[in-house]
Amino acid sequence: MIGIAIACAALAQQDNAPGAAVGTVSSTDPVTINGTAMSPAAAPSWPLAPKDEIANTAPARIQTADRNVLTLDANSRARISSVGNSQPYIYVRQGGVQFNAANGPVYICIGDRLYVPTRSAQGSVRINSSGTVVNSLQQGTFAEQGTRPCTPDAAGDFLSGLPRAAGGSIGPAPPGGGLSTSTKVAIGVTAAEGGAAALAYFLLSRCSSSNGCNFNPASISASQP
Amino acid sequence: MLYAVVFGCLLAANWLATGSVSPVAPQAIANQAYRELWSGNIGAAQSAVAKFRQALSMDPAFPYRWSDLGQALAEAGQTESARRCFQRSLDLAPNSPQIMLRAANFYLQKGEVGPALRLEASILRLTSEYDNMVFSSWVRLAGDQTGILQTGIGTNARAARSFFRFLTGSGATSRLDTTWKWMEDRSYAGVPEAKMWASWLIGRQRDSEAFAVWKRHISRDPAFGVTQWIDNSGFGGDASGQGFDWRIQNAPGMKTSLDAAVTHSSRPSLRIDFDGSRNLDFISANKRVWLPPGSYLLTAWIRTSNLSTDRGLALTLLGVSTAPETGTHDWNLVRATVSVKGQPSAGEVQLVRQKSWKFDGNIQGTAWVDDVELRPVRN
Repeated sequence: MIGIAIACAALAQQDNAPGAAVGTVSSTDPVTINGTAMSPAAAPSWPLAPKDEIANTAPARIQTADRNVLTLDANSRARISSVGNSQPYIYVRQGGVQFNAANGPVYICIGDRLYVPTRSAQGSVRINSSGTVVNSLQQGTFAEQGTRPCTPDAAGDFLSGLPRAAGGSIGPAPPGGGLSTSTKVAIGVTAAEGGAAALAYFLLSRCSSSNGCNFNPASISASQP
Repeated sequence: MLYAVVFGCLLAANWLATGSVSPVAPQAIANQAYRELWSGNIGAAQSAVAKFRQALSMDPAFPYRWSDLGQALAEAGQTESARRCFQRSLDLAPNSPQIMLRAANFYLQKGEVGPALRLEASILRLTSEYDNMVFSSWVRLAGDQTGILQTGIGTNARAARSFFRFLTGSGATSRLDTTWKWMEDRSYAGVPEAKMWASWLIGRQRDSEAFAVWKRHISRDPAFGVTQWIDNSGFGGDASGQGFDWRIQNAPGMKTSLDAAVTHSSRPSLRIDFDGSRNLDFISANKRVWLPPGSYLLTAWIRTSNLSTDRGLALTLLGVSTAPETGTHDWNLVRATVSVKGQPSAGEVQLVRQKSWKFDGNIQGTAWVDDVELRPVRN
């Protein structure tokens, strides 16, 4: 039990470490991150740090730390960050983004206006040729739909100024009360990862080059590679 | 007959499933898996994991398959399984930069900087091809600069110089001081890096530090900074325009070149040809200087041939100018006294032609300049 608690604490500390990744980006063409072209020929996926500036020529898929998926249109420019409990905050400077908020709200600042698709929403927001933001939804709803201004970086109290439906703290509590579903899921996942990490550490600490405890490829199964 | 029917049914089933009667190659399955992974659909990562497992089972000794599966597992949130796949890929291809890079990206994504730096250090020892991608990841995700230098660079002087060049161009300026000092302590810094560093310092009004760097790493003249405050007083060295080097410029109506045939000393002189088409107001050569308080004598030898108009060629520094040289004459020593009061000052020695206000102000003719010196005046 103590081991699990220590592992959980270590995981939590690791997630909060400076420079922790906010997600990964993948594309068929090089993606420019802070001015450096990252080639898919070298690696198909690149980790992203808070405040990274991304520019892409082909559509680029961003998987955020909480496993939401954002797809930048070709020839977009955006700045990626996170707010609250690793929820993605993306500032789109040019182009547009398709979202699949599978695991919780996604905060999209485009045309300096805030759009927040709620959990499980799918759709897109784009800046069209006349500079106007156009949004569409295939599924779900927006908790915020361009009524609030926003900036490239979310302020520390960003969430507290939003309604509860958008992950903030204003207005009535969402059904279920207390913690939001995404928060509950995040806590559950963290606890499970902590437990798994503690268990893995316990098992692996018994393996060394001297006792021949090598990884066996045949051990790949549906639940464990 | 029965076997033929069964075989035909199998081919038909394969055709229905894959669109082809030939067996599906592991790469084709992996490509499908990537398409699935990048589709953005809910559950895509799990589906991709299944396909990558299938590809891997057909090709278990291929390290890329293990990296592919590791990436899909990481995206599906199965971190420990992903870790084992990346480790397996490294076991199979311990000297593949791409395999190492993919594993390093996984570690960085998980905030595990140490293993990532060690892998990327190996990549940098093998090849320079991925330098900038590795360095970009470091400055964004690897945290402490000392740790990056000690673990990621270590004894690799080439990588140190490359990293330094990357930092000067990347805007990650807070890391540059640490990196330069670290390189200097280990004698990793060469002349190009020293010039780059001096230019960077000058650009941030840190001229005294730039001067010290120039004196330690670049100037071959022991008198530089003692009795002579211009490095490369002739024009025999570089004219890169960086740091305290000469910057030599051309403009419409004027052409500058180095002339080894007409010189005052043994080094080439600077030759400036004016074609008479313009009334120029232009700096043809300039050089940064940094001076402690005191008085200095700025001198140069100038030779002219048919240099027209009332506005010839002169040297200026800190608002003081030598008399303009015009007409035709042999080597002539020009001079001006410059005073620096209070704090040390940075300035620029400039070879200038100012615009003439006469009716026919277009300048024509040739001038040579050599042995530009700046020496302290002893009271």
